[in-house]
Amino acid sequence: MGKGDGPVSWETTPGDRVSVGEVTVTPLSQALSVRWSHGGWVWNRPVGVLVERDGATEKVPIIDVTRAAQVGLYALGVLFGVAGLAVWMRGRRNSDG
Amino acid sequence: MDKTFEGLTTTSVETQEQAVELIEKLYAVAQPGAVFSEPMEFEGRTVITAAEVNVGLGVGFGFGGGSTPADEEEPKKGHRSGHAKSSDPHERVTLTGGEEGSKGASGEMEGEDSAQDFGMGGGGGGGGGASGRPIAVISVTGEGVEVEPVVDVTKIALAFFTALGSMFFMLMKMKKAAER
Repeated sequence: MGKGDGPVSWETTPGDRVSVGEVTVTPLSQALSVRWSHGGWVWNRPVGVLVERDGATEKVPIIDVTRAAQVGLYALGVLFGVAGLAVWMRGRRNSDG
Repeated sequence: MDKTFEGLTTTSVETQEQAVELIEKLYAVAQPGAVFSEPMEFEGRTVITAAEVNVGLGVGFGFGGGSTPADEEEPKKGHRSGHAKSSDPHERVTLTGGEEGSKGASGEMEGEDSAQDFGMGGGGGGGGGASGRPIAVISVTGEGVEVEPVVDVTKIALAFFTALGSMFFMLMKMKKAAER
């Protein structure tokens, strides 16, 4: 599961399996790696777990609630900013015209 | 001088190799082991923590060297010995008492060593940063799996107040525009 062997790679990798009773859990992480000649950058985050039970496999996603809330709130702020800018520009156009 | 140059070159190459090894170790962060903890037993359940990890690293090196040609410097007044200017760089002159000597077919050079000078310099630097943030706790029991998110109230509050400030500012602007 992955993309790219070049300077930029984006891969989903399974971790070590953990068994508890009849349940087996395999964690999944997704990593974005950027390489250049004298350095690099890696961003790795958990994306979910594969749960195996009674012969069935289910993927349980891991949701980053904090990041989702931040993105939503900043997007709201930007939306207001754009709306305000549009109103201001329209007002200027009306006053000029 | 040759040994010094060789020693510096060797040290520089070793340092660069160490830097490259360090960069290669960086990519170990791309593995799940960097994000998920080892399973822990707690109150009859197995707990695994999950975190987001961000690591960046960069290094740079520079090395230079040079040499000056055979002596071409002007004569220095007030010095017993020195160099005399000549249109022919290979011609040498004799100086006495700091006076400029006259050009002769041949002569002796006193004072500073007329052997080729050699200079070199080198430098290197690097920087990096890393951050980690907990995302969730995975709890495994015989009945099933629970994924509980970790909520950072501080970050959400900061985003909330930033958005609120932006909204308030824009609303004031819109109100002023409407009044006009």
